[in-house]
Amino acid sequence: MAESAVDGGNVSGGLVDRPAGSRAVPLILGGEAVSSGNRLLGVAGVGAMLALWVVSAQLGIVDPEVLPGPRATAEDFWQLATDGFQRVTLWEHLAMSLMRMALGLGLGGVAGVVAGLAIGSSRTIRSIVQPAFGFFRLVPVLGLLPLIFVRFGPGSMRLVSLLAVTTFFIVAIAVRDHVAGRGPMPGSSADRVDLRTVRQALPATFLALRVAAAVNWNVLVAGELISFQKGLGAMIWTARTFFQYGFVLVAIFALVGVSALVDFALRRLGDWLAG
Amino acid sequence: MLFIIWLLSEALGIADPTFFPGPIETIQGGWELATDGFQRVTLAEHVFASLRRILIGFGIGVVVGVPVGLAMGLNNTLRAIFDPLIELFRPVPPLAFIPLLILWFGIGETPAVVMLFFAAFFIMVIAARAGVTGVRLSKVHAAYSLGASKQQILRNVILPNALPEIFVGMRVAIGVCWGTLVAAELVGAQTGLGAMIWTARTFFRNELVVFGIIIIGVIGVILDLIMRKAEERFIPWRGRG
Amino acid sequence: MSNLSVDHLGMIYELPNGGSVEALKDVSFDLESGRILTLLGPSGCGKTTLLNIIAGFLAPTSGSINLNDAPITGPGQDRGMVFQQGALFEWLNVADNVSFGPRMNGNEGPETDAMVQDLLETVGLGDFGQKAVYELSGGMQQRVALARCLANDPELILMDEPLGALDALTREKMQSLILELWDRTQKTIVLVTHSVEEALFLGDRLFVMAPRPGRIEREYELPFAKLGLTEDPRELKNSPEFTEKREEILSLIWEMEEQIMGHEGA
Repeated sequence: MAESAVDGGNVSGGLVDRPAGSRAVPLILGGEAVSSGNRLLGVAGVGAMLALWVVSAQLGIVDPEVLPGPRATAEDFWQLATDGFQRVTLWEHLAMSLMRMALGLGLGGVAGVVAGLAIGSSRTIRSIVQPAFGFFRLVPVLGLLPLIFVRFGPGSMRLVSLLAVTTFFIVAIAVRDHVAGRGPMPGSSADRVDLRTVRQALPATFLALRVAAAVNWNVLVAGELISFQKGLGAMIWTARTFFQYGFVLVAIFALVGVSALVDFALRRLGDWLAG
Repeated sequence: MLFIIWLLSEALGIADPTFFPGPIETIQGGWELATDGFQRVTLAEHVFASLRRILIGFGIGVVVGVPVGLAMGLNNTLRAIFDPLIELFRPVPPLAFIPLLILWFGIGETPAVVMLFFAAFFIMVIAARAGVTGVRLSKVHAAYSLGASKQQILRNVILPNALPEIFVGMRVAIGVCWGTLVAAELVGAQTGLGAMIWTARTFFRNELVVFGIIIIGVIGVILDLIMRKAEERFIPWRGRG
Repeated sequence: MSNLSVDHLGMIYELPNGGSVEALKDVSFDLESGRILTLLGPSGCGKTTLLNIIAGFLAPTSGSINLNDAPITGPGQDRGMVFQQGALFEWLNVADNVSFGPRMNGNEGPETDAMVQDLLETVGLGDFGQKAVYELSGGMQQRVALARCLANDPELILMDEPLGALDALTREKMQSLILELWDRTQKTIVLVTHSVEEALFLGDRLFVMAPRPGRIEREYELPFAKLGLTEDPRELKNSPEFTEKREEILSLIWEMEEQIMGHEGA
């Protein structure tokens, strides 16, 4: 029986297995949608939360030193968007984070598809690689984060390679299961893998990429937080050292937005490529 | 195999030991850490500090998250209200909140534990909720036809049916918590494996950094294996319904 | 005794897009105690909807339905249910699945245990009480489902394609088991199937239902279920009487499907 794309394991945690045959929706991407009639309630819930924030700030219930109010946060956002903080604007931080994310997903994704196709279609390769695969995907990638401190390879690429490693395992496992799930390949050797096979594996690949992106935001922010000057994680930490908590809130909102955007983009791109 | 390459690279002097320490140096460093300690703190104390944080944060996250998730799974209105909120905050890395948590709870154990609580909480809510909504309707119908009341169905059908999802959620959550904790300790703690690595790094003790990473990896794998064993033991029917 | 009376039953589903589907229209029949009724028809003919209304899982939009002159208002243990598959509780062993109904009613103890063992032996699973249900084959799981349903001693047994997921050989054996149980317990049974042969063989009454709107198209009174208790099922199914009926019903259903296709093409 083919393990589903979400079986077994996790790289830094984040994939969930379900029995084969049932809906294979990774936990980390959330559950099924609520019926449209109930949307209003959801909007009300988020609205209530925002209203609570506004009102508590307006009435001075919450000390602005403890939680910056909406107005202060908006002002901080404006400053970050125009002048920047420590001479770096929000957009530069965002662009840096997005670039790292894109590189990590791209490099890890391509390598993952190649490895997944090879493992899935060749019994020999599978028997050699499988045991190591099984062990390494259990190691939490965030735990490998301190590798950033150990100097190997060019420094700016270390975080990207960690992101790529996370992506690699998630994508490779998904593609392997996709290929294995279609039964033995005719000839069952890697050289029979053609463009059509790759194309058929695209939906599984992009679903895996979305999962990988969700996991990678964690790794990315942690990595930037501990050792970089640019990127949303770095922005959070700089803001903390200067007691600029409004900037932290801006970064959190930016993360909400940008992670949703990346997820949306990956979904659209996957749909489009798969035709 | 990787280990052999690593060993050879040290023996043959291929890798520059000041940048990337070899296995013998790493084991020596590990021995020193385990016996005498580094900066007067031993390995066992660091490991204990990290494990204590994760067990408290993860434990409370599970205990609070599961009932909330079950309630959301059972009640359409609750689900409609809280789903978007959960969806909104779930993608934000827990570490992003650490400055605010330090501001609110002060430096010490609390911020890290609260952060782990939130990390586990969101995962457990989604898992428990999915466990409830994933129940096959025919099981509920069968129970009704066998004379079970709503309360009885809740206890005897919905809850056991949600257990596999809850266990899987716990496995995911403990992995995320472990990684997040190490990252948090890197920046804001005096004890714990992350803090040990951070200190070792400032003293250019790269062999201790590498040793710490290996220990973190091993503990991560052990935590995952414990959760898997627990799954096999407590829910042998998983995936076979 | 048990007398199911269905009177001008109608069921209309509202669709999310504002439209509606008439799943059942003006369905009326009486079913006397001890009969076994099979429901057959193309998909969308409302056979499962009808079964769910009898079970009390669905409330009809019009008409009335009574069991022993008492209206059916919801699910109850006087009507046992056997599903296609996946309705067993996989976290309980075989015996605990069977004793689920009695336990929910507060009946626990040696008496219940003895009854459960008795039922398991009746369905041929005497030695399997302590097994996990996921260790059993599909056919054995359906035997457990039958035993679980009988444990509450229901007046009416409802079966929703109970043998639909089984291989041909197991299916034949299970058909004989259902007839055997019917004969031994004298229960009233309503069984939904999409197999013409099964509907003919198991039903001493058979309704062929038609879609759009869902309704009873034709009724049959059949001798095969009673004959099946004594005669060899294979021979019976190859007898001229049986094959003649089978061809008749097949062409009836064929016509319906043609109509649906034509309707959709227009």
